[in-house]
Amino acid sequence: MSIEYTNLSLERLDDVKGLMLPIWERRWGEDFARAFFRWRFFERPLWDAALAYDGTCLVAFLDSFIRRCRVGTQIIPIRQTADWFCHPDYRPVVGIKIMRMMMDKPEPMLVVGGNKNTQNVLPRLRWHSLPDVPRFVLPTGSGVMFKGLSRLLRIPTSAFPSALGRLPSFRVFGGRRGAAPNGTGSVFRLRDSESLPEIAPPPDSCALGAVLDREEVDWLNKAPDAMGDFVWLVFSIDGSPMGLSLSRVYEEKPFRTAKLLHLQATDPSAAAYDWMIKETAAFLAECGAQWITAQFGDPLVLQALEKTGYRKKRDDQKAFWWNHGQKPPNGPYHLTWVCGDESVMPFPD
Amino acid sequence: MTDEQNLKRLEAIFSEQLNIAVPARDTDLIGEGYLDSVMFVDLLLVLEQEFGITIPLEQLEFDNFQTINKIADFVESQAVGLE
Repeated sequence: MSIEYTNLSLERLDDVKGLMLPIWERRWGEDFARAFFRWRFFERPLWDAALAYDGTCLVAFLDSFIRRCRVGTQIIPIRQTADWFCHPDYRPVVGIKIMRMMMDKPEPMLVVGGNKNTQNVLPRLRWHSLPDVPRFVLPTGSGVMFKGLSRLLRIPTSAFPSALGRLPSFRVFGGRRGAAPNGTGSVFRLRDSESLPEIAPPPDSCALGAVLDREEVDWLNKAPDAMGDFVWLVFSIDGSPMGLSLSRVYEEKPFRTAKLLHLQATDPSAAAYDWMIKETAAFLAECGAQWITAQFGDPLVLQALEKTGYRKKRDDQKAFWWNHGQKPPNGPYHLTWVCGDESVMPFPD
Repeated sequence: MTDEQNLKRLEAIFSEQLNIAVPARDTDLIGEGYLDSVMFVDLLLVLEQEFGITIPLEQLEFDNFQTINKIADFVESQAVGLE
């Protein structure tokens, strides 16, 4: 058996599409599938994907995003893997080899989530475990009851009548939004990357956390319409930009739902996050979201989420770090859904 | 160490450390499902520890790990490289 290892290129797009669509359980039309795969794999800012072929047959795949992250005093590129798959006939050797190939690259690596197999294998490959990353949900409309019912009955939400999709959202926080800390606050929705002010978390504000930039704005703004809307809110106090929230509003038929993907602030505090979380939730409810989910590992954010009414879910996510045998940085981990492909999951039906 | 000693040591590693009962030295460990991803990574770690070898990326090939016989040959070749 002779396996050829190579990198993803545009001419191999159809091979990846053929491999991944059944794994993602999607039956998209050809035009949409091509457009989606081009956007998902080729239009994002920095990335790298490893492929393994047996002859002309693609048998294993490992994708990675390379994002700028605050690591203590530095902002450095971190590799975040996604879509690790190996055809059963080629496990375990080929699947492990493409991960080992990725681990030989210079950037430190981060994984949040992943299936049981990934969670069992990574520590054996000498990755370090980081603290679990909890998930939260905030009910913002009565549709959330049907979501709970769908889980209880193990049926998809799409089994409910489409008329339920017109349920109004709650007026969250009784219309009273949070107050900006220490000054007069203002919020605007960012439409293009040109208007993105510099809002980087300060040195030593966290041991590890993504720093969103213009390239990420441009990429998400180019997402196919079926992905829903990516909502960027910029927060200012006395006219000075101090925070940024990123969310996604999308269809989980027949409902509209939202994910609070990321928060970053120039002066992170529980009060600042409290204000940003409340403003963002109110905005997403106004967009029709029936519930908002969130995933954060930062203690300051957790405090603000719970104060805002987010309820902790039971499915804490495992997180892992690899840096060529070095220990992970010390301190709070500002881990969010901006990691690997989590910010763009779930894909449209 | 002779080939036979290596083979016996490998059989002991499979049965005692990995808790895998392999019927014969030429049993296809991968094709017959004796090694999943977790066990395979455990095997690599044990081989490195027990035989004092480092398994380079380019040597992670099916042919080197398909049977106990082939693993013995592989360990032997890596140990020779260390000398």
